Amino acid sequence: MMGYIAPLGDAFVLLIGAVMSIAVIAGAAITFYRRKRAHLALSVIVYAASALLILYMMLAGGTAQMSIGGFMLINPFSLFFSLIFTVGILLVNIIAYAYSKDYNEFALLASFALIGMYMVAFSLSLVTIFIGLELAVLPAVFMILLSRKSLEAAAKLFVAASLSTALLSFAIVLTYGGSGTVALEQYSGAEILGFAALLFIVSLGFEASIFPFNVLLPDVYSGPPAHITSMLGGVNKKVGFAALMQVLILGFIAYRQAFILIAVLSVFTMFYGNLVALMQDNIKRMMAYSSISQAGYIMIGIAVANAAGISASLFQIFAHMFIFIGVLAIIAWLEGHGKHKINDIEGLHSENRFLSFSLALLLLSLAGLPFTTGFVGKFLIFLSSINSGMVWLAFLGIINSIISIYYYARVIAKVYTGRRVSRGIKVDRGIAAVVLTCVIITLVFGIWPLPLMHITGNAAAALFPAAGAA
Amino acid sequence: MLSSLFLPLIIVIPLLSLLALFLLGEDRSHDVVKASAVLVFIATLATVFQGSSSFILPYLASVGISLHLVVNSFNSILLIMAAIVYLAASLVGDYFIKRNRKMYGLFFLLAEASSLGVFLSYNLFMFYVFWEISEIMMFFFIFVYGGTMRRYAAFKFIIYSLTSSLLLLIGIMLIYANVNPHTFDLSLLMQSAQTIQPGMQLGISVLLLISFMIKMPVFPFHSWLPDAHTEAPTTGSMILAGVLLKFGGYGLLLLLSMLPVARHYSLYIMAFAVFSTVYSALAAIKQSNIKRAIAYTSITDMGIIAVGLAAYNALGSMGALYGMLSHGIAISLLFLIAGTLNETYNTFDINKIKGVIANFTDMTYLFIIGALAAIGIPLTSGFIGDILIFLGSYGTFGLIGLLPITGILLIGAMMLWIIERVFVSRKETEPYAEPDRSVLYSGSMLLFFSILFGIVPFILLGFR
Repeated sequence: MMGYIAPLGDAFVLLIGAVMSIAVIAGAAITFYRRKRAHLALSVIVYAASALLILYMMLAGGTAQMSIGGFMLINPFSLFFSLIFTVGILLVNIIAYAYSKDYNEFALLASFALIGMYMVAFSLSLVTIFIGLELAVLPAVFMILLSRKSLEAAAKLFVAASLSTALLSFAIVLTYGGSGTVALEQYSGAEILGFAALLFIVSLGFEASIFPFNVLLPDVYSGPPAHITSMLGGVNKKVGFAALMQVLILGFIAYRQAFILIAVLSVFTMFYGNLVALMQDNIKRMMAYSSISQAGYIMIGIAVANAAGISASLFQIFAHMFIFIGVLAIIAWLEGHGKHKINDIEGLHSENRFLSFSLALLLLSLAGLPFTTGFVGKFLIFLSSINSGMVWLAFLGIINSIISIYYYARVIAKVYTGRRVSRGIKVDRGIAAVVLTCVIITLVFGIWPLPLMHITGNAAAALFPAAGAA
Repeated sequence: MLSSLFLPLIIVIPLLSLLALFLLGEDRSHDVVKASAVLVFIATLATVFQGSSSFILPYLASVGISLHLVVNSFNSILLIMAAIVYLAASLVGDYFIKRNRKMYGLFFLLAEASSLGVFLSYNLFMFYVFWEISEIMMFFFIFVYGGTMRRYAAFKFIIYSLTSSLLLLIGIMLIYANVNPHTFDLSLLMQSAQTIQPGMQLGISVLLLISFMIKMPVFPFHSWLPDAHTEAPTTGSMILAGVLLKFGGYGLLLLLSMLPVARHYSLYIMAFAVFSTVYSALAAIKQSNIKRAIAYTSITDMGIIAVGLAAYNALGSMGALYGMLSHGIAISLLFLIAGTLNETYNTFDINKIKGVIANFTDMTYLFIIGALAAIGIPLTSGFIGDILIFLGSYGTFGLIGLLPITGILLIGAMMLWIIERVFVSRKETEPYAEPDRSVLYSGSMLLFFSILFGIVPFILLGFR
């Protein structure tokens, strides 16, 4: 297989170095210096540069892959996820700058988390995934604690993360027992590995908000301020999916039962998320359940277990990240004005037209409005599952889309009706920039999805080395 | 070729008008909408009268999706009908929509582009996409500009409609997955869909059939329509009844010509349609709300059109298409007058409005002729549609095929009863306001086309 040209490998090392150095600088900034603005500028520049670098590697590298020092692997799949994580953390930083009282600490923790996410994305072994997941989730616990808003959410996230860690380590041990290696490669044979696959689904299910393991999640999402929720749901959850895809597709593709389990759990996840979301009156809690249901759709693509399915899931992950962060940015703005309930946003249209329109568009995209990424993602997912003979799964998924429209439409309806408050309310420039970015990406890749489909297609193909070689 | 240049213009004009809408102020938005509707009308006429043409823009080639627009003998009639109805609705925008005009313009233009897109697309994916967008726009029409019960009606509408469109989506994806090579393009599917296994064909047909029956609507799935129409703003009702219901009929025609197995079960479609016709005509007689009564007659007419489609022969299909044209124009006219009655008398209640003819003679004549066209009296377009449908239906089903005439008789009686009670009764109710001139213009235009297509049907039927 063709390798990367050397400068690209160096570029990758540079990238990790840059993110680590920003963490260090952030630490210094906290110690000596309390100026937030300079710190934000620095973070934005470094993350944007990293994102551009990853994008360049992605476009220049094509389908090539390369391992660095035998512990990390650069391929389109890992580059795709690292791009998502970088951009996500960048957007979250801008939201946090506007609404967090202690932005410096947030930025520091977020950069730690990003290193963990990179480790998961680039990992070649189960151990790196384990460490990366830990590194990604623990800073989030401290972020919630630092916000001093919700001790409960921090405790619940910590409990979930600990359970996940314990089970994950057990799964890794079983895998090592069964196959004699902790490297990510295709396992086969020993029956104990089937049990290991089950444990992987359970433990990563905590991270990826899969049904029975996500019961604590809505509390975790709705407790802390919106900028932290945007990171938890927009970026952290995707780490769980990155790990789940790598472990299941690379390691356990031979274990069909695992994928049937994923298919069944995806149905439960969708129904649980959608049905409970119907009854919420707190908009952030509704978004928490909605993101659970979206996780269900993403799982359909994993259950299909072929390149088309994974590619569709990656598309949906990309779509959902931008939609979720965009909506949460708007919610952060609403919280800034003391609005938490769905009833509070009645007549929002007359207060701020831009944010009302964006909220409506992003929610419609989640519901599946054509010419937005949310629709294309879901369409590709259902198409892949029908194409591989799982008509029932697509059918249940589509039923769920119908259910979900009700609660999204309810919010939009509230925004555009009700009392008219003629006074406009200004928006922080950073929030406006984040929302605008999310809306533009949602529309552009919704109307012209080909480039993104190409990228996700490459990324998905990287998980199926056998098919690629043939 | 000039015609293939006009073809995408039909969709592009409303989208470009959106730009003008955003740049100009709130006061000018109705003007933008009118100008756009006129241009679309001209572009549609130009395209249709140049004969068959097509236009392809590759979109997602890897999954067989392209923006494939086609004008042929099937859809040209529907295109003209949609352009006329949108033009008529745009003319009375000033009168019926007085708040949030810019947003109204946005919904209107998107609805116009997407409805014409549904009839034009020769790619099932795009067919679905346009279908879905126009439904969501209609939801907003009802929700933002509707009457007092608009929340309930809008949500009922959207739940039914999305159920319908998502069943359509499953059906389309099943077709895609079962043909070789995988494609959404109708020009290929018309051949290759025939080879799908009969069992699968039956499954797909059932899904699509339910979807189209919700949309048309036909009996067991019709309950969204009276509520949606009662609460929708007048222009919204005109568009919903005039254009959106026809998606179901057009879809049914595509389904029957694509999947041979569906044709074997056409007797069931016909049975549902006949029942729907009689049931809704009886329900219409019972209504005291004039808009609701008209809404029920629209179910009756769509039932008759479904009978023509189910017959699946040249006369039946042609009659159904012509019936859709006629129904679209006539029902918009009736809803227009009903809406004007509400503006002038502040009520839709048949028992509270008396003697309209004493005050507004022109509106009375518009309503009477609209009602005659809806029933299918000779010299109106409705007659041509009905006669073709029943000839076709008699050809396929025999005497049973003539059963829906009962429905026509019933709505005829109902219409005359409404005319007698509301328009020409001796008693007189004092109106609160004068109607706007635009109602007269819009109504006369609809009337003109209804009679034109009734007297000289061959200007449209000649395409075949």
